[in-house]
Amino acid sequence: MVAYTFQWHVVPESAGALAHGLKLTLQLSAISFVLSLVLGLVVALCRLAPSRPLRALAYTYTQVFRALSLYVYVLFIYFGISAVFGINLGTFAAGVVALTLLNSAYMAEIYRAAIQSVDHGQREAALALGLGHTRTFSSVTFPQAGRVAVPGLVNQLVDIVKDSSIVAVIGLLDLMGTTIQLVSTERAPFELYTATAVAYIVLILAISAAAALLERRLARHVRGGGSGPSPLERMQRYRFGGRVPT
Amino acid sequence: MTEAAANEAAELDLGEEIVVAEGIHKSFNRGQKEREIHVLRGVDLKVAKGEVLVVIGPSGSGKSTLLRCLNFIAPPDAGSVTFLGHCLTGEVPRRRPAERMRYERDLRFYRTHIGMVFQHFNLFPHMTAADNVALGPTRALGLTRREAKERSLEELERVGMGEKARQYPSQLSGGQKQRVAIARALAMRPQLMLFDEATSALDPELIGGILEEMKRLAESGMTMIVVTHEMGFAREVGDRVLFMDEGVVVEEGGARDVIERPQNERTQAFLSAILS
Amino acid sequence: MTNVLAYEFAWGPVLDRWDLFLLGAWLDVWVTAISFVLACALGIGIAVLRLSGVRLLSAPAFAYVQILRGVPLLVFLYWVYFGVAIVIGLNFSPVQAGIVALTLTGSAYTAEIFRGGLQALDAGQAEASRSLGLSRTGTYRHVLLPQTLRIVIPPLGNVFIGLLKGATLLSIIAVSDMVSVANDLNINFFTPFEAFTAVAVILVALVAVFSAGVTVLERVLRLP
Repeated sequence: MVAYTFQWHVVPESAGALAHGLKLTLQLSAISFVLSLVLGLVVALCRLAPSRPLRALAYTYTQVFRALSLYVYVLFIYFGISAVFGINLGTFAAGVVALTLLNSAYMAEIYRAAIQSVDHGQREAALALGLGHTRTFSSVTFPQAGRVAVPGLVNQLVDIVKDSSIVAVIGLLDLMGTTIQLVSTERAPFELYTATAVAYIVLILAISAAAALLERRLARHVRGGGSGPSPLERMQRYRFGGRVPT
Repeated sequence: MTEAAANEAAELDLGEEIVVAEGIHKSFNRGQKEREIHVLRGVDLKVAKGEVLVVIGPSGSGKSTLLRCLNFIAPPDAGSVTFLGHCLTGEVPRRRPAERMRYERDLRFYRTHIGMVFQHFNLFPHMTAADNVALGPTRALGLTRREAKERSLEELERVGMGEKARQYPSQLSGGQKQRVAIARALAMRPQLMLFDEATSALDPELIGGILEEMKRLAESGMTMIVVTHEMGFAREVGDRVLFMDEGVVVEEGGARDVIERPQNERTQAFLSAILS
Repeated sequence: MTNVLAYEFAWGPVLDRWDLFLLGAWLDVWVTAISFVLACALGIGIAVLRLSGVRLLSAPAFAYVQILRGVPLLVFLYWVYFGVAIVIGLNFSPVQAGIVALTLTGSAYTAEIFRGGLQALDAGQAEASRSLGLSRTGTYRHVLLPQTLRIVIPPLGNVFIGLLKGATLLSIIAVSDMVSVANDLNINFFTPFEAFTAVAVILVALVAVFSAGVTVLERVLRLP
């Protein structure tokens, strides 16, 4: 092994810049997460709508935006779409659009599976009580489906945070982008990339821990009241498991 | 009890007793204060060659765990099991490789010579009935594929499943699955058979057939330990009955005596509840 | 239409270089395949350690998965290619660095999948196998893993596709895969839309082919 002198002092010296990058990463992730939550639900509802064209459209949406990697969407949106329509999106906006399109498609599938996992009897019972279709959905089906969907949706935030690092490729100075820039001036790639990796790990472990906590609290009241959806929950997460965020 | 003393005891009984268990203790979640459950609290047991011992008792009394201690699928925390003159305790000798090897060899000896039939059959779903039966003979006894295949078909034939040899477990009914499981255990040519509530998961109309199969096996001279709730079977086929409650043997005796004239209060209460 | 958009579509440069695109795609595929196989091997090992019941083995396996799942692939790639290479004084080729990063990232996912697959099996399966006198290894080989395999194929298919998508990131460290071909086109001819459309089409086709492959495999292995 070649003797290598570590220059860990570079890390605290760059802390200010890295913190600024981290802030941008958090903003990018949070905005994309919220937009995906909303858009995903809309798409999921369209997929379960009575209207056939609407269903087909929603289906196409989920297929198209799950087909490619974030990297390709980012390049496509930032370079391709911008050039064709002659607009300059900016790196942050391009990142938000790409992250939202991709993750809303995944979230739509999570919502859909959750809604479908709610026992038929629940819907029938609500309709038998004289509740309308909308009312049945909003006060019986959705609250139950929501509990099932939450773990999957929060996991999606983990993917968003990881995926967001890719926006650095088009020059956004998020955590990763800042690190790349710092490496070119400080010449301490191992130390800086390690620090950034640790920051991502800590961030993601924190989100996972919060998700686990949330899941436990929600799981408290899911069982009981007839055949609840909770056994399905495991299966679902299993099917969705294995997406490597890129 | 020390190992030497256990060995001595084993030698004295040799030829008579096939299996002797002494002072068996078993806990689950050991070392986790509040979650620890002491399932077996010092159980002794002896089974002579050709004998059918029926173990009864309320659920949670430790019957199934006792069976799993005998073939070390759940090794006992304390106590010893002597089987055909070999004495084993649950303590794994970790230090010396040679001792460790000997222990592993003994374990395999126990398991290859003790057949076990489970409540939920535990057939391997990715193998046909014939392959289920042939797995042990090829992988544990070292038979060639062809020998194992022959033996497998022979055993399946014996339990009336010859025609189903090429079916997968999912294509069989509960009763058929349990027949295959019995054939799988018998294909090892065991000295002792353990039945762990073999009929509890079956539909009522299928129970009779399996009990009939077990009775036939007992009549052929097989040594058996049977955990069951079927009192009719216990009385008719069992030589001795052992009543367990809360991890200890409460009453033991001839099958008819215990079932028809139980002495202990707890036995009386259990039997009157189950027979009414 | 072109006038409205003020953008001249020019498919010529892309179509002229179809062979370069396919060569680039082929590189992505074999890099993915190698990484996937390695990630599976590593993942099985980690899953077995995780389920060993021995704290000394399961705790590091747990930590491994948690830590590796927290590192974005791009960060991993830079860390290996620029960082680790300097420290150990070894010059990775970009492809080697890519395979290392993809394998390690993938292994965290495959480990969790194999663990889930093994845990999904009924405890009675291992009991029955051991009651027949099979050794621990024999039990894994003949009873547990064949059943696990059937459970894990769909999620493993997702990992493969994920790694394939991840492999396109290699263009960032100067691997000449299909995205790098598109990047060159974009720079030389300023045809970003056409270039990245080509990448998208190829990637979608590849994903479709591999998804179909997984479905076929599932059907072949399905038990009656």
